[in-house]
Order: sequence, then C-alpha cells, then structure tokens
Amino acid sequence: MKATKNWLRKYIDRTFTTEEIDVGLTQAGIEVEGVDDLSASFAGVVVGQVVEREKHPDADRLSLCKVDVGDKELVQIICGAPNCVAGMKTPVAKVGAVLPGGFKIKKAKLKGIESFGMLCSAQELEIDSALLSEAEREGIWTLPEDWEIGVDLKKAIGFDDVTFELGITPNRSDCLGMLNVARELGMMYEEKVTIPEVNDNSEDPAAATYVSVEIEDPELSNRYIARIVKDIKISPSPLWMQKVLRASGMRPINNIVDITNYVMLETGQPLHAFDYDKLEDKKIVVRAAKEGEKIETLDGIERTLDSEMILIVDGKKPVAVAGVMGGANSEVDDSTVNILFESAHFAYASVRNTSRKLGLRSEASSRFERGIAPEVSMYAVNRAVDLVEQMQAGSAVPGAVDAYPIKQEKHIVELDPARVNATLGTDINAEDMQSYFVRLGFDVIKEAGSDKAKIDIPYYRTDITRHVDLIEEVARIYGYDKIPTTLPVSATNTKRQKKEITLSERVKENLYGLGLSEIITYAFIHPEEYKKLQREEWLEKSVRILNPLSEAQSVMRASLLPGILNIAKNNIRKNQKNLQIFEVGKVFEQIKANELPKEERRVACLVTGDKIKNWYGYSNEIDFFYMKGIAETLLENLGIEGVSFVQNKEDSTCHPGRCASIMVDGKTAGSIGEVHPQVLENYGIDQRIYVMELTLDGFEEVLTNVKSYSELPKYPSSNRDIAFTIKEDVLDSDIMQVIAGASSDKLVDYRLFDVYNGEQIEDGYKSLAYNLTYQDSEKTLTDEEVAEIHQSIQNSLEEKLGAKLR
Amino acid sequence: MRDQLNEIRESAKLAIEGATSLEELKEIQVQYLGKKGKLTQVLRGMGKLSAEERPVIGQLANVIRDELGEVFENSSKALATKAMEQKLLKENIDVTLPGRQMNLGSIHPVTLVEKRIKEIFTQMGYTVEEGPEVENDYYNFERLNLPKNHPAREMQDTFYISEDIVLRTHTSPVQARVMDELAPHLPVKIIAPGRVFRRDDDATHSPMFHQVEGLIVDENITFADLRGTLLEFVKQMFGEDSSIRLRPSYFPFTEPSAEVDVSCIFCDGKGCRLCKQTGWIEILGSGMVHPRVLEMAGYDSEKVTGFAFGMGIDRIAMLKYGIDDMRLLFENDIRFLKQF
Repeated sequence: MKATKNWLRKYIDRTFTTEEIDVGLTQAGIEVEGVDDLSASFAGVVVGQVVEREKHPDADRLSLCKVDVGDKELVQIICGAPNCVAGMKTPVAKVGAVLPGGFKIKKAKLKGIESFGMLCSAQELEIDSALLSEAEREGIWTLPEDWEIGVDLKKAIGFDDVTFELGITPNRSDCLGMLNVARELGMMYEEKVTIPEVNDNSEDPAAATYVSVEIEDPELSNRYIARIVKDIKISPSPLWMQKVLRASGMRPINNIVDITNYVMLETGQPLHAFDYDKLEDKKIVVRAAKEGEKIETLDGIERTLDSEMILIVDGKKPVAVAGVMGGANSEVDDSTVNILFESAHFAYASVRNTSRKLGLRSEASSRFERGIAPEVSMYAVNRAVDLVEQMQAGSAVPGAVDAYPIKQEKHIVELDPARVNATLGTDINAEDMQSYFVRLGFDVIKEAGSDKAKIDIPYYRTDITRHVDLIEEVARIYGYDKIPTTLPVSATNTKRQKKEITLSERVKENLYGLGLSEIITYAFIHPEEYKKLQREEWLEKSVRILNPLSEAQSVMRASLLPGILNIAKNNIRKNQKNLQIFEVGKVFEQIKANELPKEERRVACLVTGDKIKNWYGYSNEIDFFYMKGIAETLLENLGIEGVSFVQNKEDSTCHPGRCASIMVDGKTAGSIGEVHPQVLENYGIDQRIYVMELTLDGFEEVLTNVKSYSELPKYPSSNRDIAFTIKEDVLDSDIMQVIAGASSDKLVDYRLFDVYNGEQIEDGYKSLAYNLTYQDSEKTLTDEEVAEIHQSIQNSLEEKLGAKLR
Repeated sequence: MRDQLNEIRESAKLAIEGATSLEELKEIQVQYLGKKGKLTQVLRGMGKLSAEERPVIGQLANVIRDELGEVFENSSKALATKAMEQKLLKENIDVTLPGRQMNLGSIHPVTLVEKRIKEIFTQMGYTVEEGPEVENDYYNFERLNLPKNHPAREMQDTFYISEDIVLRTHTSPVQARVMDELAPHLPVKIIAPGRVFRRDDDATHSPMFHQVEGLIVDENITFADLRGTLLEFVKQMFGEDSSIRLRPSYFPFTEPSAEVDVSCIFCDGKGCRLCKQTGWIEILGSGMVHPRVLEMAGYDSEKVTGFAFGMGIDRIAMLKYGIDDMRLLFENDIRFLKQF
C-alpha cells in the first residue's frame, strides 16, 4: 500500500514534513517500509511543444526542431527520435537540467548545428514502465495535448510528491484505503480529517428497474451493490486524478477506469465497472464456478475455473471472476454508453486461492484477500458515482441495487479505564482515555457517575470487537514509550527444566572440550541422500514435506549423517581437510499417517584428516580409535554406564570391517565406524572419514545420578606386565572378559599397552602386552599373593584363548 | 712430622683448587681425608711422638683437617653451582616456538547466543521449555488465535506435512502446550528456544532458523512489566547503555502487540548503514497475551494476564557478531566456526 503526501493533504489541512508522516504513522502502528521522494529523480524538465520540425541538413535521422518551452523565444533542439513531429507535446530538458543518474544537459553541437536541450523519452526520465501505455514507451514521450506549456514536468505528472510504502498488518485492512491512513495521521497529530461527503440516494427504486442482483450463497459474498450510470463519455480523467494515481503507482487509463482505481485506493473497496449494455439478462448472479467452466478475462486470456472460485454471471454468461478480474465480454471501451458499477464483498479465502491459482494478483484482489468491511461498500460506490457526475462523464440513475444477506455486526464496547490501567501498568485518567476515542473519530457515550463509557465502533474498524481491542487503542495513542518499565512481581516458578535440554547442553560442552566444532544444518534433506548413504530403506519412514522449496529440501532427515557428511564435503572442497565436527539435533520418523512423527534427539560426530606435521613431530592421527576415544570419553563424562562396542558388519553406510554398534546395557544406542568407501565416492570425498551417531533419548536420567565417593586406597598397589601371542582374530573384548573372569577383586586396573604383529611373530598371530594392577583394600599384598592371581590369569588365557606367553 | 703435615696441607689445597668436577673433588677428598688418606696415615704415626709433641701435632692436624674440610666444602659448592649453570645453559630453548597444539572445538554462534538468552531469563526465574519441530496446525495456528483461512496466516509461509501437520513456523505453539500442561496453575513463566521453518530463502531469510519464545502468565502482569523485562534483557544482551523502542504492531495471539527495536549497537543510535540511518534495529515481536489464547488454555482472562515475546536467535547472533549474510550460519565453513 502506497500513501502519498499530496493525497493525504486532500483530507488534512496541514503541510506535513516527510519526517512527520513517517514518525506519525510508525507510532500509530503502520510500518513505513520505504519513503520515496519522487521529485528527486530529475530537475529542469518542462512540458514543451515542438512548433517546427525539419530534417537536419547533414543527417537524415536527426530532426531540427524549434520548441516552445514557455519562454519568450523558441529553443532550437536536435532530436534523434523517429516519432518527433511538429505539434506534439513532449518533455523538454532545458540546458542546465539534470536527468536521473546526475546526467547534466549542456549546449551541444550535432553535425555542425547547435542544440539547446533535449527532448526526452519516458525511459530517459526513469518513469516506471508500468505507468506508461505501450505507445508512451516508444521514442520521445508524447504528452496529452491539453497540458500547459512550460510547466515543470514533475508537477504535470504528479511527481512533485513523496510516497510512503506502508506495511499494513492483517488486522488493519481498513488502512488499505487512503482515507483511513489519513484518519490515523490526523489522530496522531490531533488534526481534523475531512472525509469527502457523498450523495446517498441508495433507497431510490429507480435502479432496480435496470438490474437485479442475486447472491446464491452468502458464504461466497455477503454484499453486492450495483449502481447504474448512463450516457457515459469516455475520456482521460482530470489531471489531478491522473497525478495522484501515477504517484501511487497506477497508470491513468480513462475516466471510468481511473475512478474505480481512485476510489479503491481512497476507500480500500475495489470496484468494477461493467459495460451495462453488454450484460444480457440485466441480472447479476453471484455463484460458485463450475468445475472446468471457462471465461476470457480482460487481459485476453481464457481461464479455466474450478468450483472453489466465485463467478459473476449476467444471467446467461460469466462476466467476471469475482474479486480477481473482469471478463473481456463486458469490458468498458470507447463505445460504452451505460455502465454498471459493482461494489461487493467476497469471501476472502476464495479470492486468495483464486488469485493464486490464476496467477492474477492485483491491487484489487489483494484488498479482497485481506477482508473489507461490507458497510464501506455503499460509501465507495456512491463516491464513484459522485466523481463521474463531478467530471460530467455521465448521469447517475438514482438508487442502488443492494443484495446484503448478512448485515455487518455493529459493536459498542464498554471502556473500563481501571481495567485498561491494570493491564497496561499505567495511570491514565478516564477523561484522557475517552478523548483518545474522540480523536479517532469514534462516538463516546459517557456513563453518568462512572468512569466507564460506551465506545461506538465505526463499521470500518472491524478489528475492534472487545475490551482488549480498546486497551490496544489506548496504548498506542498514549504512546508505547510513555508506558513505565517494571519487572513482574510473580510467584516463584516451580516448573523444572526438562532434563533432555540439559543433556543436549552437556553433550555440546563435552564435545567442544574434546576438540569438535559444532555445526547446524537444515532439518530437511534431499531424498537422494539416503541412496548415497546406501540406506534407501530410510526413505519409507521419512517425513515428506508437501510444499518444499525444492527437491533438495523435501524430506525431514531420519539421520544426522547426510547433513554432517555434506558439510565435510564442502569444507574438504575448500581445502579444509582436517575436520572434527558435530551436530546435536532431531531426526524424524513417520510412525502413522496424519499423526505427529516421532522426533528423536541425536548427536553425530565426524572426524577426518591427515597427521599434521609439527616442529615436535606429528599429531592428530585420526583413525577409528580417535573417533572411538571421543565416543568413550563423551559417554563416560555424561555418566552413561554399561557401554560396549560390538562389531557390526551389517551397517551399509560403514566399512564392514571397521564399524561397531554402541551398546548401552545391551541395547543399541548408536553406531560408530569408518564411512564405506562407496559412500565416500557417492559424496565425492576422497579421504577416510570416521563418524558416529548416537541417540540421546532415554539417557536423560543419567543427569540425576549422584556420584558417591569411594575411600582412597590405604595400601600400595603392585603392577605386573603380561605379554603373549594369540591368534589374530581374537578380539580385545574377549581377552578382557577372560582376564576379568580369572582374577579376583584384587585386580583393580588393566591396560593394553602394546600390539605387535611384525617380524618374529608367527603368521596369523599377534603379540599383545597388558599392564595389570593389583591391590587389596585391607592389607598390602605379598609378592606370593600377587603371583598367584597373575598365574591364574595366565593359565586362563592359555586354556581359554590359546595364548602363548612370551 | 710438622713439615709432613704442612706439605699435605699445601698439596691438598693445590689439588682441590685444580679440581674441575665434583667427581674429581670427591677423589681428592678420599685421597687426603679418607680412611686411608694421607692425613690419616700421618696421624697414625703419632704414637711415636713424645708426650710434649703429641698434643701440639694433634692440634695442628685437627686444624689442618678442619681447614681442608672447609676448603673442600667451598670448592664443592662452587663446582655444584658451576655444574648447575652449565646444565641450565645447555637446556636453553626457543620459547617463541609454538606450543603443542591442544584441541579445543567451537560452539556454533547460534548456540552461544541461545545460551546467553537462556542465562538471562533463567536468572529472572524463567524455565526453559521445548516443543516438537513438526507440529499440529492446531497448536501452531489455531491455539494462537489463527483459525484456518485467517489472513494473518499469510504472514508466515508454511511448510505442510499434511493438511493438519506443519513444520512449526514459530516457537509460539510451545506457549499453548505449556499452558495446557499447567492450567490452572500459576504462574507460567517459560522461555522456549528452538528451530522453526518458513518458506523463504535469501540473504536475510533462511528456510530454517531459530527463535526463542517467552511467556509469563499470572495475576497482575502488565504491559509495563513487558517493557521492563525486555529492557532488562537488551541491557544484559547488548550492554548497559542499550535502550528499546516499542512500535504498535499486530500478532493474532497478543494484544496490544509491539515490534521491539533496540538502539543500534553499531552506532549507539546515531544512525548508520546497518540501522538504515534510523538508529534502531528490530529484534523481536511481543505483546500482552490475547484473552482468547488464555481462554483456550483454560485460564480466566478476567483474572489473569500475561505477556509473550519471540525473537530470532540467528538475527541476534548476526547483530552481535557482525555477520552480514544469514547463509554463513548454515554453510558451516570450519574457518567460520572456529572464530567462535
């Protein structure tokens, strides 16, 4: 919605500065999204007339003109435009003029003849092409014949104005009309707002002899007014109207079309004019379109309709798509004699859907979509008819045919100043509050012996229906910034933070400490990602978005791995090859159609990179065990117990020999492994990558685990090493189990410190060395006692696993 | 014998002075003062001396022993000091070489800001809450006074999963969920951070971003409390000198509603490119909870009031860290992440 300074001036007798309008509307709650000073674009350009035109003696394509610019003498100007003819009126940039872009007009010599200025095209003046007819876009700009010579062009076209691009909130659709913008501005500055008076003879029965109106279903339209104007003389509209329309971004066309546009911009009520004589049955019917029904709209395109669209029919044929566009078959043209003005109210949801489906969004449809007060429709159509008569463009048939099945509700709301102050935390007195509503132009009915008053809400303010709406009016008129600042005096909050939130925070802190950087990726992914991961089966349980921005963002992720792998790929491409990253986020799984999906909180980690050579050697040897170390430390720090890593050859995303399930108390909680070379190839990554993905759901309770102190040992411990060779396929976890099983509680710690399978070791075997720590809490263990336990461990390893001691 | 002793004294002193290491000194000590040392051997011959001579020589021998002991001691100290000096000299390093690389990761700027917001509000007694990211139309819209076909739904371009299920377009549905859980208990005093989704993608909009919702419902909560709370928040978030400006606006679930601007943190409100010369930057939307929203949750809107606010975490992170393109937040370039 655009408001212009000159137009507002028609209703408020005060010359506002641009700043005043900007601040006033903003404080009133109308967002000023942009301010455009139209007069800043060019200077020194006037309306001129080509008096004489001859060919340049030395150049066929140039015209040598004598131009009247309102000065005493004619000015000699050379022009290259082919449409330059004697008698035409056109913009003239005189010597000293400045065109858009700062281009200065100077005296020039063209093929030996002097030129004192330039005849301009609309394009050179950077006039928005939407404001121009096709003819006006060609060559130099042909101006209307009746324009006064010598007048500043900006004034002539209405560009001596400032426009304000307004953001109108959905509750204030009334402000899609200039009148109500003026009312807001007047209210803010306590200035009188003059609303144009209209003749209302709507009750006169004359109109009904010309046409009837029938609304088939009040759900489609709850008001449709028709007024008839006879003896129409189609001509250009008066200059003042052309100017404000142009400044508001609308192209003047002819008096009738301009009036409908003008009244729409003024009142917010879109109007449509039909050529009355083209209506066959003189009977307007508003009905739902039939599936597949066709109509050729004003733009000459045949439209196919569906049953959710609303159609205006003349008794025989469709004549307009309601609220969206008129039909070509009933268009007003130069031969039109009688017209029918439509001022109606259509179901906004239907108009919205229709304009979307047909790709036809206009100033009119966008107003219908926002909802208009039906009571405004009569004022608007009367205003249009008055304007026609004022311009002597036709003579009105008295009366209006008004189908109005559901009358707009009238609201009178009681203002309770005590409650207003209690809600706002203010101390505004009752009289002041009442005066605010007077400023708004509302009727205030005081109640004797009480602070309370009844506020009569005008029909156009559909946003005010209950007391809280009055509170808002008081707040904004009083001024939000005058309201005090206090802190709530509220009882202690007994609600406790959810544990899963705390758990996520802990995971992030831990991984940060372990050297990983947090990433955040989109929760929606490309369905192809699952194929890349070799997990196509995940697509079935994935949640799909019906209206994604693109295929690449069309399914909700069922795993955090696609996101983290893509980030790794992008970084590697930028030559950032050493990466340690993680993400904490939700994954989604469709359990049942039309129910909320299961959301599961997970953490994913990814590490990759080379050994980094340092002056002290190498660091960051990233391999499976680096990843595993992170997993183990994370789980330990979180206090999750009963963790084991079980080899998993089935995980198709991972290298079959380098992947494990992370088990907690025997249940799978996640997986860890080296990414399968095929998956890496699918992602276009050519370095080894290690990932883990772990669920966080179900582990919230570990946060409540209380650590308890165990007594420090009083007696010394003793260490023994054990080294043996064993078959290569014996797992460390098996050896650990045997050692643990064979020892008494005197074995307090064991640690693998060497793995070797080089020379001197039989093929298919490996050599392992463990350091074992023995200790007793009651006494110092003797060498003999230690030797005995140590021996039983050795025996067990030999018997159960075929270890050979070295 | 006296001559013998004096000669030992002189030769020992010479030897000690000539010693270049502690080991050498030790040997000399044994050579002279040890059990089989030269001085001891001389003293063994004392028996042959006369009774008059014996105490005199004995005293001399003691003097020499003490004297040599002292010399040994001094020399030993000097040599130890010298040895230490040499060791230290040898162990000289280039302290300007880089330290061994320790691994510290980084926390995403959005998380950092979210954490700060949580801190500020939990200090004020709010509890952190969460809700689902895929949400019922009912909670995302209807419970917020946005029935189907309400024009205000147009303000938020919505991703649909089905007719009744959406990707939540704001964190506001958590308001309704928490009120359902608590009503009629008072107070409700929560903030709810989380991811939200809208069909928008350019330099200032991302189809996924983060919000924090705030809600308080109790008896006697006022618009002044809202202003005070938000002022306290911006002072803690952007600095003690920050101020706020409230502009009337519209959200279906609050009334009165306000857009809230913070004084521009780049120019202190003087006007610059980033605040488009206005001195103010919009950071959040807020208002008094609409009575309909309270009523739908089962609260008596005649007795209790509340306020709510919602802010974009990503936007605040961009302001706070001077990030000019929202897409940087989700590109996750490691060189970007490591700056935080």
